[in-house]
Amino acid sequence: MSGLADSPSVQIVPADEGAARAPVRRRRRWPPTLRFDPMATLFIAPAIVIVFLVSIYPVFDAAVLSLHRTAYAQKVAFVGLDNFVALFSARGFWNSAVNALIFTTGSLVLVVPLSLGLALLLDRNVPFRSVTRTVVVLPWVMSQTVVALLWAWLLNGDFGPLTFLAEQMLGHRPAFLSDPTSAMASLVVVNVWASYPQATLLLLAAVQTIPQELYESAEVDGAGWRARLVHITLPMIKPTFLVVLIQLTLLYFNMVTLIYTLTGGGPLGGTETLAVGVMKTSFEDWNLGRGAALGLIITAVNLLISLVYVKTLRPAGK
Amino acid sequence: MTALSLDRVRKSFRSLEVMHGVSFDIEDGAFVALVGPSGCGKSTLLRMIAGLETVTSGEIRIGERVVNDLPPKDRDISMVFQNYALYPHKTVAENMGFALKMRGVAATEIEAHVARAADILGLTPLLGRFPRELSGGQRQRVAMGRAIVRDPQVFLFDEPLSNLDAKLRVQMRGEIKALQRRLCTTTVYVTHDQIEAMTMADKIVVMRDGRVEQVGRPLDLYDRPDNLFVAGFIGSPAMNFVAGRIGADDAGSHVTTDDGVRLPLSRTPAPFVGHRVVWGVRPEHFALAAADPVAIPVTVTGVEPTGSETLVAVRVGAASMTVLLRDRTGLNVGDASRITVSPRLIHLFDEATGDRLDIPPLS
Ligand SMILES: Nc1ncnc2c1ncn2[C@@H]1O[C@H](COP(=O)(O)OP(=O)(O)OP(=O)(O)O)[C@@H](O)[C@H]1O
Ligand SMILES: [Mg+2]
Repeated sequence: MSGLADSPSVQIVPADEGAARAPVRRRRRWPPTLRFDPMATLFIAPAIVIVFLVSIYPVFDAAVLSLHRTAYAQKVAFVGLDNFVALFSARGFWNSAVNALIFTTGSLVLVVPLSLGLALLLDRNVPFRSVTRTVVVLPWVMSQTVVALLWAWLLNGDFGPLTFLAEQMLGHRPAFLSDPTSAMASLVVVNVWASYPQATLLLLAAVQTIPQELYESAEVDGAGWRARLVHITLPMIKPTFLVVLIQLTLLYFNMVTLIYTLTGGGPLGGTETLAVGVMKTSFEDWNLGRGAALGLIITAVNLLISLVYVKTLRPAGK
Repeated sequence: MTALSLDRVRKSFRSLEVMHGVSFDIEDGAFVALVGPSGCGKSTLLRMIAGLETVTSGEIRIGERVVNDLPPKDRDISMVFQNYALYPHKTVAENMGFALKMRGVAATEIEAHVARAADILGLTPLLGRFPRELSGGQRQRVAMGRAIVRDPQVFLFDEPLSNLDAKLRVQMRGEIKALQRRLCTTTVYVTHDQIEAMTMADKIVVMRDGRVEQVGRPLDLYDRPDNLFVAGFIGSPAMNFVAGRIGADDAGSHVTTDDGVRLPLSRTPAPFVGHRVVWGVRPEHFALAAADPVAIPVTVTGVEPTGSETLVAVRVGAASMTVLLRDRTGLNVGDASRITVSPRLIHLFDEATGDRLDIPPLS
């Protein structure tokens, strides 16, 4: 009997007896995972240390910092939630939040259809396919700083080629970067230009894994191109689409380099997003405590964004 | 009435021609198997009939209509793909109803059609499942369900059973055949498995390298293959072939192999004597005749009993042959014995052309 009970595959035990015995069994079966194994610990340790150093500790440190009044990098006094209260009651905060929203959604609204359309196009036998693909990927290989400098030159109000071109066509000289509204519009366009390749390539890869037979079957079934898009392509790339959406949203919401280099958040705070706000609060105003508080708020929003996407887009039953 | 007809159909991929003028007709309601070795163009031909591949030249007619330039959806066909091509994110019912939905059929009517097809195929309990929740055989059945829901003029199958295990394959073979009998829908069935073709089809089209080698009823192909290729392709184990020269002497006609073995032959008219031929006999048509002095002398090189029958590999001169015996034998490897064959079961082919040589019997 005890021999049977020891065997892990034998489950025929009366319910109450099984319940009574379960803890005993668990303790007998699980020791290996609980026992200290120096070798295993050694192998896992570097990963744990790295994760702790680069992800957990900074968040923790920022949390502590956000509860203090600071002078440069020194904590001066514990102030509780004062930093948060000050943030929420400042006009600048809400302005940055609205800007972040406009920048993020504006870029998404343009990038998603653009990259999806390009991915579908590149999946077909377009002429000069390899050349086209290379051109499409080009912006991706440039760093955000280079992109920003390039466009700062292109859009420069005094000598930018695009300004000149627009002046020839419109008859007046546009203020691409020196007016809050058009600066935001320009920023979105530049951002779209800089970030669509990544999305395009991810979606293209997903589109290319769809078996040709599915399209042929749908064709025989009488589905036109639009029906094939709706009933095959989109559902089949949905997991990738979800990843792309999360990735882009977080990228845009947290973007600093491009915005900071191109417009510096201006003019008149017209392009200052929350992420840029962290940068400016911490390293221009040198209010590290308040910067940390803002950073924590952004982190919370990031988590929320991911959760919402995963919940709404995940296929039912999975 | 002709349901489907192909007239000198050719196909080129870029400059490479893979289909060199294929013609055949299929009667209404017939089950036609398209067989041939890998790469001979079976799938390409089927896809041209479906409209998934353009026709380079020639004509394809479904019913009365020339369909060369019609898109697949207007050809009134349905197709079952080798990997089933079920829509992974749609339920069984949605998969089966998709074609009707695309044609704008009302939801209640779709439901009725799907229910009827599901009933025929025993899929009713599975209608709410997704393809990933089905076994291979069930997926196969859903693919068929999707094809029959629309009640098309022609069914096209591309090796639909090749992903199933041997036992299920035999079972589905029977089911598909029974289904086709019941629906009486003209069917083109691609397979490289000649047993599938023999057991299921009313008519077989044997293809090689983009050409039709022979069209006929299964047993006609078996009994009177038009050429060496068909003779070797139809029948399992394959027909034995030995090259030789027709000879005649006082004892009668015979074929003498290059190494001097005399093979039997019915009495042959004089003009054929001296002709180079390939002599062919199916393994099951040989009989053991150890005591017969005029029988063909052989050396046993292998014995494979399967229980119901015994496959004996033998050497005749330098040639290898297979002999299929219904009885158990006491033969062992290395034994010498003799085999006979009735002259009317011998096939002769012209060695130069490979074509069947029909020699009128001398009365
Ligand atoms: N899209 C294509 N481009 C170029 N050549 C092709 C294409 N499709 C098929 N072929 C060629 O056409 C010939 C016939 O191919 P097909 O797929 O019809 O053979 P099959 O008889 O179905 O073979 P299998 O039994 O292996 O499925 C082959 O030589 C193949 O290489
Ligand atoms: Mg094929």
